Amino acid sequence: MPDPVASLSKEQIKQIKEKISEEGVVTSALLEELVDHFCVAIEEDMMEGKSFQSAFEQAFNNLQEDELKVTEMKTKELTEGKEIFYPDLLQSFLMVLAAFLISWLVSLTVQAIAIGEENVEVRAQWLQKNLLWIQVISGLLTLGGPLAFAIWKRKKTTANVPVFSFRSVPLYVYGVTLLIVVVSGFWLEPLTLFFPYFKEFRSVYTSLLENYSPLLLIILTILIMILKELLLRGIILKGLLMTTTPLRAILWSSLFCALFSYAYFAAIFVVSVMQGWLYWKTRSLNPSIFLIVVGYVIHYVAMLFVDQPKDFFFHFSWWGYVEHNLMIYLPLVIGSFLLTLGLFYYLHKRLGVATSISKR
Amino acid sequence: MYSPELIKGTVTPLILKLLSDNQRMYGYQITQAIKEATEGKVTLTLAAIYPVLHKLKASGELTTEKESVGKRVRIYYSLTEQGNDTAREKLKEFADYLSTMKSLLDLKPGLQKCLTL
Repeated sequence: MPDPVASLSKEQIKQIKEKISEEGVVTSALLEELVDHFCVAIEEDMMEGKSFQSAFEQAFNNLQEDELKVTEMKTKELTEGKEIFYPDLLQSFLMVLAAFLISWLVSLTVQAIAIGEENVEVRAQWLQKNLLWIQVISGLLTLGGPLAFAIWKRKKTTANVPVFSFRSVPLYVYGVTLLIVVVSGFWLEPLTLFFPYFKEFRSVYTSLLENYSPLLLIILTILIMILKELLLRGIILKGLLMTTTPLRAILWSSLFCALFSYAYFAAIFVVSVMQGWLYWKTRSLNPSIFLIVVGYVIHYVAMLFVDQPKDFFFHFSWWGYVEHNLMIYLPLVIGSFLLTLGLFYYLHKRLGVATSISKR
Repeated sequence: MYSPELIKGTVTPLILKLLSDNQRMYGYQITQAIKEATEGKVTLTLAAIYPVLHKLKASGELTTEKESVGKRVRIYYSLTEQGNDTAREKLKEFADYLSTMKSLLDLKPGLQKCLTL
């Protein structure tokens, strides 16, 4: 059925909206939807030669007695207690803000404890000794607080739906995601030049690497990453996908994700966009978690075991590995970027077909 | 045109079927598609379709996308992954129900007599 050409003026739409409100519709989402419903019906009549006023009157005269009031009442009745908590942009922002406040409080508490020790050296030793646990507890509280709130809100609903979607996805998705992780490592590196690690954070991570077992660090980092995914993709992105367009939902959730990181803002934002796209396409947290965890493990192993000249980069760097040879590095960056786009296009094509149940 | 009582239980399966076939649709489009497909025998009132669409969205079966059309907003509905599963179940149940009803109405006269005793 072809859509009629939208031609109603702002004033005409306002007239329709006022009429629907007068008839008893007050819920804004329903009102917005009914305005479009009447607009299309009126436009169809207008295309057949009727005037706006005549089409307008006919559209409302065709209604049954109190139909709009009944629609409003029934909508409220059917959604009562079933409204699942899907955070919109403002609620998502408030959750991220709450996470920052918790992080700030933890940081203040740690400083207060450390300041209790007058001797500067002892204070530094205390901080260094407890660094890992401070980081872990801070991470758990920062992400766990808003996450627990969102889970509690979702559990309150009477609709029996799982809080997080761990829907199984075809194996090839993981294969292609793995390729994306490997290939994107080349072109993401220049993005880390924006907002690189501050010296303070470098020393924190160097200290962690020197004092703790790499396996313990990997496990704890993965745990924090999974919590981050549950909050940012499982709650925030899912909520935004329910309340705004997919593009906006992915971009906003990626911005929040990047804000959570202390460094590499641009690179983390882009990685988060890729993760958001995977979640939107598969409606499952599995590929998104797989991407970030595998990416981290590959990066960590490379940092620990691959020899490279020490340069600007704190982590493993292809730029360092190719000994700052632009003739090799530039084609690597451009080629890998194009290949990543190709891999996403491949996923888009295959997943596009798989999500339609009529074609299964 | 069929009575509203008869149509009442069929609205949810009809919406799920249409959305599983069409990826995404808006409210008016759904009412018109049903009207056209049934040659006007099934006409959904506003009170029949919109509360069900909102209920399905609230329970996570449907998701919405907003788009600007001219000077107003249009809300498109599509199935979530959970909605896909529900659609399969509901349509299977509905087909089974129709077949049961058919066999009940097609009973041989002898059996019909037994039922009336």
